[in-house]
Amino acid sequence: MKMLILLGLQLKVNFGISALRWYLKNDPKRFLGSVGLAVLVIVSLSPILFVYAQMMQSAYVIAAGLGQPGIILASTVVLSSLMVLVFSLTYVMSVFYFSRDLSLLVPLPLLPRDILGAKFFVVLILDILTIAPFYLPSLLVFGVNSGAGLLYWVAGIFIFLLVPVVPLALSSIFMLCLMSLVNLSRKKDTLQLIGLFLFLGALLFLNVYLTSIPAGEETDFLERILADEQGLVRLTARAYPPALFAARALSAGGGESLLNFLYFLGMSAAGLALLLLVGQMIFYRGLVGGSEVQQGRALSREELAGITAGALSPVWAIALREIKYLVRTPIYLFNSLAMVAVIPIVLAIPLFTGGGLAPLLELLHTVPKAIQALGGAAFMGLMALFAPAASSSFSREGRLFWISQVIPVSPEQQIRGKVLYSLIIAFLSVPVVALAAFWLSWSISQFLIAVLGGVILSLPAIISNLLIDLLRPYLTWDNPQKAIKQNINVIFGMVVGGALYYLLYLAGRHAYLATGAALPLYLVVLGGAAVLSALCYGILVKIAPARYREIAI
Amino acid sequence: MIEIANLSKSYLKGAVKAVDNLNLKVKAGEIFGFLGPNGAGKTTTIKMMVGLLKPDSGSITINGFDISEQPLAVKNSISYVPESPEIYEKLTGIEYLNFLGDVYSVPGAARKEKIPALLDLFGLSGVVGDLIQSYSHGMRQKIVLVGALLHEPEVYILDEPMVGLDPRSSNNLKNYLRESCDRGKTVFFSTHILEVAERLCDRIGIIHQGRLIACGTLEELRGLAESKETLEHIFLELTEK
Repeated sequence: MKMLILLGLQLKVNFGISALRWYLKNDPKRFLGSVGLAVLVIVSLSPILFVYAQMMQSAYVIAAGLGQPGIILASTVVLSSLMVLVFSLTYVMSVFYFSRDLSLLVPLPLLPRDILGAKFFVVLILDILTIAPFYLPSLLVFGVNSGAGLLYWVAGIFIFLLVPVVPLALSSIFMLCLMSLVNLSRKKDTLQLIGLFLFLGALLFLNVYLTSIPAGEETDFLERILADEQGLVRLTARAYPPALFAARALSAGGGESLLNFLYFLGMSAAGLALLLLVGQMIFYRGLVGGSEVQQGRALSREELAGITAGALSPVWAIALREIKYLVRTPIYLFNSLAMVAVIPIVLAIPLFTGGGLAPLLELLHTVPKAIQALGGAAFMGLMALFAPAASSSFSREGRLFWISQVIPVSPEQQIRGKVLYSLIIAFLSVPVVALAAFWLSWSISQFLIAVLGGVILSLPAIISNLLIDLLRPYLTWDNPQKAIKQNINVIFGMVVGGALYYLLYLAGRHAYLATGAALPLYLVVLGGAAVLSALCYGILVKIAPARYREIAI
Repeated sequence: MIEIANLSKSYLKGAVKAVDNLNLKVKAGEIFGFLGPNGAGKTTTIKMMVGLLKPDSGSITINGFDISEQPLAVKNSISYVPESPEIYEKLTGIEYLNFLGDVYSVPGAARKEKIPALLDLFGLSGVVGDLIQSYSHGMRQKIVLVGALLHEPEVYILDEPMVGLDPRSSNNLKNYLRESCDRGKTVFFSTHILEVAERLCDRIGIIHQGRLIACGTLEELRGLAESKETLEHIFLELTEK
């Protein structure tokens, strides 16, 4: 019962229900602003959704031709579940262990499972919203094409709501175990981060292992798969077995549908029950005292003098502040580094599973070296776009933004510090570029061109994202995850940055096709990036002083 | 009512002792002031009392329940006011109070009677429908206090409860706590405002570098120090040693 009371409160707080109701009554302008923003997000994502739905439609036609249209649903459930499993890790860590309200909730007469259960449902709703753009188009495509009846739609919606339960319960249980172990150690932050990356690595390897086709038996394997009516569905569901129940529940029809639906429901209930059971036992072990910070020994006067002797420029001081915050907040670090870390893991998987990188390298060798180097630069630019370093830069300051408002450092200098910091994050992808340089036998100068080009190509994403975040920073978050994952600016940043890169791609492609030479391509792409960056920077520093004055926390 | 025995909490594998073998008893009906310089171990002790930190050793018994063994029974019989009023900003004041009423199982009728009285006491009636986000620091402290007083627990554990309060609210809170203790409740609070401790507390404990260096009535503390004037003089003298 108390779990439900707490859940009601968590929903009001986390989804701004109370605030919206209050705005509607007392500040209709702000209410419309909040609703309008949500609509804007949906509208800005709609072109991508449309393309995705069209892809699904084509996939359905192919799958139906093979007599296995259920693969559409199975692959969507697998994709959604894997997304939940991976992306929930930091959600769970943040909501379960770093929410500010925990210090208020723990002293209340609530059982650990009450708090855990209520917070689990908050993450569940976030996950449902996250998978909606992937799941609902597939449900729609399959339903419309197969002329499904009412039961299909009802079951489809139920399964939609239940899909994240098992993977979320699994990542929650992992996190409960990790945090209770980590809490025994002094190096909590480091161990949390190592745990997160180990989980991610293990998941990728397990997935590849489960879905790999035995070497040398590819033809037989494919024949078997295509001969079996549910062959493709079964193959896909090997990556995540409950997906088979979900897909069969929606596509088999009759009693088999019902039976599979009940299996799926049963697995979800079992996952939730297991989580609550484990949570009741170990949740507080990781939570109580989890935010304790070890005191260091006192510094001697000499040490103190040494530390305080070197002075930094304000720009470096700002960049360093951001880096320290990043390094000391595992959630920021994981979110900023996950993409850069995942790529070497993905590249390493074929080495371990016997496939090798030869086919990929062979393909890349057919591309001229100059284009390869520009590809390396583009990779750095994309990493800068995907790491939410710039798009959450002001938001991450949260309630402490007042410090930035009162310090005697001009907004422009602070922005330069933030650009510098974001560039340092983009530089973390240099080892991957170096790996590419090694495998593709680039000369030193080609490698340097790639890195320098990467810096230039990172700037449009960084500066446009800083601009977006400064226009409407999200400063009132109550757990650090919200500053990144529940920050609309991060989505807008990716959409706007992606659009800028698309423009550069179109211009570069045009230049290359017209001349067939590398130099015009470089000039257009890198010159275009520099112009776009300068433009965004001009706007940013123009509006910054006023924004710094106006923002009230 | 509160019994702390051999309580210790340390960091750096024991090198830094935040709380060092603390022993303390607070009787029912008593207002106990917990004083100490910054970093002395006051908040650490309080956090261990309410289950926010786990002690390295020792025990804490409140209302006959051990916080390690029966945390829920302890939490049902206490209320806690944290050092800084970090609460749900996206709720209105009344939504926050109703939430606390729900988790402490305060019946509707009792809430109807109690909430308006407490809101009046702290001058919050006019803003209770507003989002907490719009509250000043003092107003947030007041709404936290109203929430803490709502379920009339046996023991109040308050970490710097007067910080941010205006003189009238501060005075009202002191009167309320005095009346509660006269009815048999217990108050354990930390403060830096020595005049408050001097005037309000039945007994005072002074913690310094994790150790309880003095504990007793004001008269008893005067006996421990050469300076017999005010609590401020006694405090300064004892914490200098």
